[in-house]
Amino acid sequence: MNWLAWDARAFLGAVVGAAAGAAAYAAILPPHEAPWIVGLGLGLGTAAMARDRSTIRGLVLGGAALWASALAQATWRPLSVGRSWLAEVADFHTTLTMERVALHAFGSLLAGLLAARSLRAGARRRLAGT
Amino acid sequence: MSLSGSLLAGGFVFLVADVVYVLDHYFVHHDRERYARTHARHHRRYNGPKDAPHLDPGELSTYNTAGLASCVGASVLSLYTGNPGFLVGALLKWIHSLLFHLYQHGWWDELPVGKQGIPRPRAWWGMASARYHAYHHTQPSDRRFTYAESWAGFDRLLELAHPWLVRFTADYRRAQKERRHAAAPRRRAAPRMREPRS
Repeated sequence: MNWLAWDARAFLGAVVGAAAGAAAYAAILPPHEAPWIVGLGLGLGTAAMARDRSTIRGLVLGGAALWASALAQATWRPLSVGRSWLAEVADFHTTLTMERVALHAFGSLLAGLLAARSLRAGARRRLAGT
Repeated sequence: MSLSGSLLAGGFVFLVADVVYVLDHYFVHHDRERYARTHARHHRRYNGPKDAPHLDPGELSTYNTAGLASCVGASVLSLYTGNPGFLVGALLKWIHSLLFHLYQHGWWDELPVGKQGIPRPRAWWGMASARYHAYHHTQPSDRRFTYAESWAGFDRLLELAHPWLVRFTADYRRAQKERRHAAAPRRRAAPRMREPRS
């Protein structure tokens, strides 16, 4: 039983999609700050690779997208140069403004909506207990 | 981040996760189709002789999916507040759910849990013990709700809310739909009154 419709393909799609999104985020960073692009990549990657649809997978990956975009921000837009990456992640919350929260949340929404889907023709919807 | 802040955050997530489990449990018991498709097996096991591991694939999938989803949500709260208590609370709830059920499953041996004469718990507002929740496993349709895994008060609140909340259940909506369908042909078939001829 796999309510999340989660397998190696979907996992690979999510990771590659998030990595591509993070690379795009870093590439356009000056002057654009668009952390939502990480969520877009993660969602598209998952939808492209997943065999089945799953609402709960969308919810979980919507949350994971917030982590992915936070890690991308900690990597390419650190608070100060020379600090450890882990310290940047731990202090992520101190960088938040209303605008930033909205941008990250938008990425999470995109990821959630896309990751719940599957681009495969005839993909069935996984429910609890299936 | 202070220890008290972390403890409060952890306790908050632990209890919120249990509310979600209680509500979902209530809704699955008021959805005949979903119950038959997913949850019925869980109850059948307790009322029959042992025929599978303590946690079967369906139970593992349910508990682990719920645990993973709440951990992802709680970890985001930790990330956005800098308070690790949220994530710790969700992890503890995940472990608690598994251990809580494994402990009950330990009673389930040659004599099925359903035949061990677990008494109906009183409607109290204290902590939900394993015996309290085990009663639900053996008597899934009892009017005394014993869905909770941590605070029995959630069940008391649910009993109070039931007359209103039941309207949002799949069974209620289904019954309403069937009632409307049953009423519709009668309206169409109603005889027309003829005007008396002059």
